[in-house]
Amino acid sequence: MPSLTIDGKRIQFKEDGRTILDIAREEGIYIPTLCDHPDLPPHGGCRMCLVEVEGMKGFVTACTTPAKDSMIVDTTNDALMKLKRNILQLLLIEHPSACVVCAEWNTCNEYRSQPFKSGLITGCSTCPSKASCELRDVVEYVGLDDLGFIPRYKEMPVEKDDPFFDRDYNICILCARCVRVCDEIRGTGAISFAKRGHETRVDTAFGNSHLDSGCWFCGACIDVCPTGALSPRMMKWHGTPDETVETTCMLCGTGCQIEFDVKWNKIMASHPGSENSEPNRGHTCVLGRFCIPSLMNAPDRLKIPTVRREGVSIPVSWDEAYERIAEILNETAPERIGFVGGPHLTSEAAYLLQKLARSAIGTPNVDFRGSGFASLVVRTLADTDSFAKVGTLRDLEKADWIIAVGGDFAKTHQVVAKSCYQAVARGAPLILIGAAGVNLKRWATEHITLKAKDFSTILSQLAEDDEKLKGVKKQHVEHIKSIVSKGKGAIVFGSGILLARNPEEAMTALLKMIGDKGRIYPTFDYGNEVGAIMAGLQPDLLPGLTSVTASSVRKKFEALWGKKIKAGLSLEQMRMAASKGELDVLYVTDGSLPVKGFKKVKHVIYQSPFPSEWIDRASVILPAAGFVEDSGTVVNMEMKQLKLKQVTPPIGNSKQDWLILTELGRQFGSEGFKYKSPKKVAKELREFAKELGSGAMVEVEPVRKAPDWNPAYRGAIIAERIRDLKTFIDALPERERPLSTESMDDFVKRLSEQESADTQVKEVA
Amino acid sequence: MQDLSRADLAEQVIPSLQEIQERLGYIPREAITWLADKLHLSEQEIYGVASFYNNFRFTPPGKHHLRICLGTACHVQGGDRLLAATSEKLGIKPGDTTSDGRYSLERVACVGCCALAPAVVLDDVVHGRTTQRSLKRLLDSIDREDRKAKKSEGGSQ
Repeated sequence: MPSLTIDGKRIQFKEDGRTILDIAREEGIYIPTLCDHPDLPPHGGCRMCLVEVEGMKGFVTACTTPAKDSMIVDTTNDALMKLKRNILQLLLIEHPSACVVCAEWNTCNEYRSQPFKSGLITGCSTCPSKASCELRDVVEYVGLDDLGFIPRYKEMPVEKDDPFFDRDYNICILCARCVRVCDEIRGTGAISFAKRGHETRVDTAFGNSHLDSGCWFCGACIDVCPTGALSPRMMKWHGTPDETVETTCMLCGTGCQIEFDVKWNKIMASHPGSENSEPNRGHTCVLGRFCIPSLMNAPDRLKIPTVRREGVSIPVSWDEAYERIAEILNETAPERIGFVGGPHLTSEAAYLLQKLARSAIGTPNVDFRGSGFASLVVRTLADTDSFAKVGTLRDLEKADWIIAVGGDFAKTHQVVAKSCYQAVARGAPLILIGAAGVNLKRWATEHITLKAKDFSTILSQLAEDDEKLKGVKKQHVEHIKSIVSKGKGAIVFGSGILLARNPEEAMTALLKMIGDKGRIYPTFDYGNEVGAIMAGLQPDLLPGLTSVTASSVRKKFEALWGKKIKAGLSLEQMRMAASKGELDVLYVTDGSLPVKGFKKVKHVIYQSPFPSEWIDRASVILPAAGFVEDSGTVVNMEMKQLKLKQVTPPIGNSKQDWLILTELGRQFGSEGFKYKSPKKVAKELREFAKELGSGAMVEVEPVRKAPDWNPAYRGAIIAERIRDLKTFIDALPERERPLSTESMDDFVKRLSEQESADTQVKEVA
Repeated sequence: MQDLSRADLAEQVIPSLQEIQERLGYIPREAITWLADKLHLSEQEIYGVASFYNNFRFTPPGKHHLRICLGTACHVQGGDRLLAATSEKLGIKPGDTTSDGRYSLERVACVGCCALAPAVVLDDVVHGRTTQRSLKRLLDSIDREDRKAKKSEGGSQ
């Protein structure tokens, strides 16, 4: 085995391209770095990791030099340390460097993560730094006792005009981490170094607003910044958190792991979880990075159960609310009752909701407000037994080619887009189908623009290896075919596929085309659509994706629950029935469900963390916990079961959905509701899901127009609550234009004509 | 440019910027957007390159382009004072264009006429051993010629 010596320590290692820095870190030998970051490829910019290697000329950067057998490396000799001190002194000329020689250093260290207080105590107002300033750590290690040079303050105003984050480039040390993560990892390139020499700074083209520069506000730049130059505006004043908890985000179907700072039993800030946490590995999107604390701490969260008496909503105890619900449900014939869940319920809550309906109440009418997309995907996969064809985001990064269809993932699923870009950066061609993918255009090798209703046609043609491809010129057909004929493919697709003339055909074609080697990546719009379907929150399915018409399985459930089970009304059928006055009671757990069509319903029972148009007509309102206050499991786009960990206690007097449904089940004297924790529910659900049934009918509601991207959570439209998000979403249409196809000659001609017209106007004036 | 790989496209940044500047005289904002589209890069990546090199300018050059040499010989012979005085007279910084669009001023490092230091290049004609006074005379004569030309143009209409 090859070995090398670092600072006299002999280390055996495998020669696999790892650098001297990698080996040193594994052995616990500290080499100072500033531009290096575990997420980023080596850069060699800051020169802090310089080491001396016997036999190599001068000093080499440990971060870019691959470790070789019998190297003798010195990291700390006097010449090196002197050099590092000089480099650091030069670097500190343009940093408000008083900080590193300040007499209050120790006091500041103690209060550093509370910049507001730190400022009051130390009288310092230079830095909004986070808990750790990597620059200070390096200064401490290298041991500077004076600045050496006269500081040159750049006097740039702190930039606060863009949504979500503040930027103080006066304390930027130009390590390029933000530029690299934006460009090389996220594929956005919203920032770059501009100008050079002393004038160098991180900037957008012509100093444009970040809204115009293509920024997605994913916050990756903030997370890699080693100083306090970049900071999230709403999350920097809370100081040291009491604890941090990682849980699954439910705002879309990706299932990102997000870490929350908790203080005084409230969430104060959110960050992407650890870089080892699948599927997002230290990355997130604008929603996960910036929006969750404001959403969950919203002042208008429902906090107390209420019951409507003589037209007035009156706060009551939970028991009174349950009694009133029992009263309402007992006086109504079961078939005139409907239960509508939502895609943001945990699998456990979804299971309990349908169990309550089917076993305690005895109504078959259960469904949830979903996109129809998850239903298409899950049912087709169950029907063809091809769940194994669903890939993980890690697989996606290793794909040999990618087809993206029916979605604009750069916008709606930023973490999926990041994985897409990782494959593209490695050389995988990306074929974009349809106009909706306009934000992925720069990465695409081929962009097939055709109407969404032709999705099924082109996918079938690709699957059948037809001579022609709809909407593709002859010379491109060969190219596209040669791309998709080789290697491991990836098809990333979204709910836009429902716009196809025949979505079922599109889905089948897509599975056929991907074969056994490739993988598909369905990007679900909501947190737990798959979980809700698998838990049986469907009028025609039992838990475990078994059709209610499969008599053997149905009989088992009937014996267990003591009630006859039959196929019930779907959400649309319930709406029809309600408009005809054939539905008397509706149990709603998702405020995003439109009231339209349900106005004739006599009683609404509304269970949600947020108010919505339903509360005005609700007979009973049950305040539910938000997903950060809940525990249980969800199933993400990778078909993986992810844990939801309770971060904070439910706000006010609210309760978790599973608990509400359990207590309500007991109210009806039902035997099957003795759960003490969601784990017990999950265990029961697992028992049923073991026998994954078949006969799930694939039925798709036709969709004519794709809804605009406007993220919502159980009745709360997030952009209506967070102004910065609205600013961002409003700015998007401007950016969504196809790539220019103008030739250089045409462009120059147009510009010259435009200019001469401008001069004439000027001269006339 | 469709068939080029991403790396090949990125290599086209500088040659394309040079062509644009050659044909339009400068790099307009629209050109950055257009080129970003063509090369599948972001505007920032193009702007980063364009703003790094002194050669690329973001403002249209004036009708007359004045370059003042600050190479070693010219510097020693007072090129810096010449530049400062001209800058003040025209009311613009090096790299900018006067508001009436008549003159643009640029500082260059050696035009290869060290024997004629300090050298000034006006519209590709080198003027050696320039003083503040001789440069003023030169600019005045240009102004006179332009006025004359404009008059005759107006008279012929």
